Amino acid sequence: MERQAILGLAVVAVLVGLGIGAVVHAETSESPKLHAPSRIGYRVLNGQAFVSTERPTVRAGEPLILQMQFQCEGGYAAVYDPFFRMADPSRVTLRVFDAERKYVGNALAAVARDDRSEVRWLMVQEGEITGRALRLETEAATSYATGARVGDGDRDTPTHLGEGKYFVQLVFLGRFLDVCTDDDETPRPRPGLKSSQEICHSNVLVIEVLPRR
Amino acid sequence: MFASTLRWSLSRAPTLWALGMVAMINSGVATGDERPQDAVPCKAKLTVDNPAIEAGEEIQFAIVVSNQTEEPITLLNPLHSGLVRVETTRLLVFDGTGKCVGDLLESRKLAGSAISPTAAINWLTIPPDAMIGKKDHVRARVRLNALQAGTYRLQMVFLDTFVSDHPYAGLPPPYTAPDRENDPRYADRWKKWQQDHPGKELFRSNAVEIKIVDRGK
Repeated sequence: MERQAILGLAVVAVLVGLGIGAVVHAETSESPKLHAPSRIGYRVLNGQAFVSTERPTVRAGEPLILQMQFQCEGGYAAVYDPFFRMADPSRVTLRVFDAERKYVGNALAAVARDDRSEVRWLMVQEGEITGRALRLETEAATSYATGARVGDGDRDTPTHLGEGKYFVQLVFLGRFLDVCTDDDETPRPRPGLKSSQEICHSNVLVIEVLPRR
Repeated sequence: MFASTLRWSLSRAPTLWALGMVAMINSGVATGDERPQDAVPCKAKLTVDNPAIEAGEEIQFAIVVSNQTEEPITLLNPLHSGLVRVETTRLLVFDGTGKCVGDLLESRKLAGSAISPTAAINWLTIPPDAMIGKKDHVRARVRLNALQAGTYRLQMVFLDTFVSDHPYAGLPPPYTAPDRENDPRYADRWKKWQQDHPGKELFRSNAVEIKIVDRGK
């Protein structure tokens, strides 16, 4: 009788554990979604993200040139990787969604990580703008980097966008606000801010890749 | 002594402004043309939030410069601080006939305190594809005179001083040099930098139309 009770408890514990695991897995594997624009609203730094392009419609085979910007509207803080050269999806992602708003991938992940940049930290204050231009290749069909897993959230790496209409949104995550320690220049997570926390969503840019002539 | 110096400066201010404008015209920046920017290291985009204002009001603008090369470039005073007294940019205003009326940033360059022009903090190196800029505001007036009602075009002109390496690049920082005051290397480098960067136009932003309106009429 006692053995049956222990066995029963053990089974319940395993089932509960599996249930929690399933919930956690469901949360972490959930695809990113489009959000309404939101600002960084911390005392240390506040501002907005913007994504734009001078040419939102191109033919397959032509590149899309996107501009990603952070506009500081208040505060004063050192920002790590202010020109988005590190392609670190725990700081900044450029999310692309298809016409049905289904997640395609993080276009910034397709950019080669550039460790040569001399500016790792930049003091940013009200009115200042930092950012980068991003060249996104297009083709008849969307393709991903070799070895990239589709369904891996912000690590999905589309190397070419296929024909169709897309929505693009720049998102800053918790590590965008990393702090600079005194002893070295290694970025450390800001206390109280999770790295997975989405702290800012840009406007939503509509782009389109038309078939080749 | 101070009062006499001030009087001297004030008495010559109009002359200095006139000389500045003559220099501007001679350096070829007195036309409203938008030159192709393919061959220059940077591209600049100017936007104005309030293109219709009353006389004397402030213009809210943003200027963003992007690196068009495949190598890092070094910029002097990329955020257009009035504290840096080496001229790198002019925000020119052109009237309806295309004539250059003046530089809206001129008064900012003449007033207030300043920091050493050779301070390393004045320079910033930005990587390929990077962009840096500022949202700013300036009163719509030239030489203390408000722009009169009418249509104008604004364009930012960047001088050869803007894209320039730090004059002491490769030397130990001056504050670590034991006898910096008497070390000729620093003075020689600064002199050569000034000779190499006489302030010629390097590139321009797009031009933006603004209207000065007289709401009283």
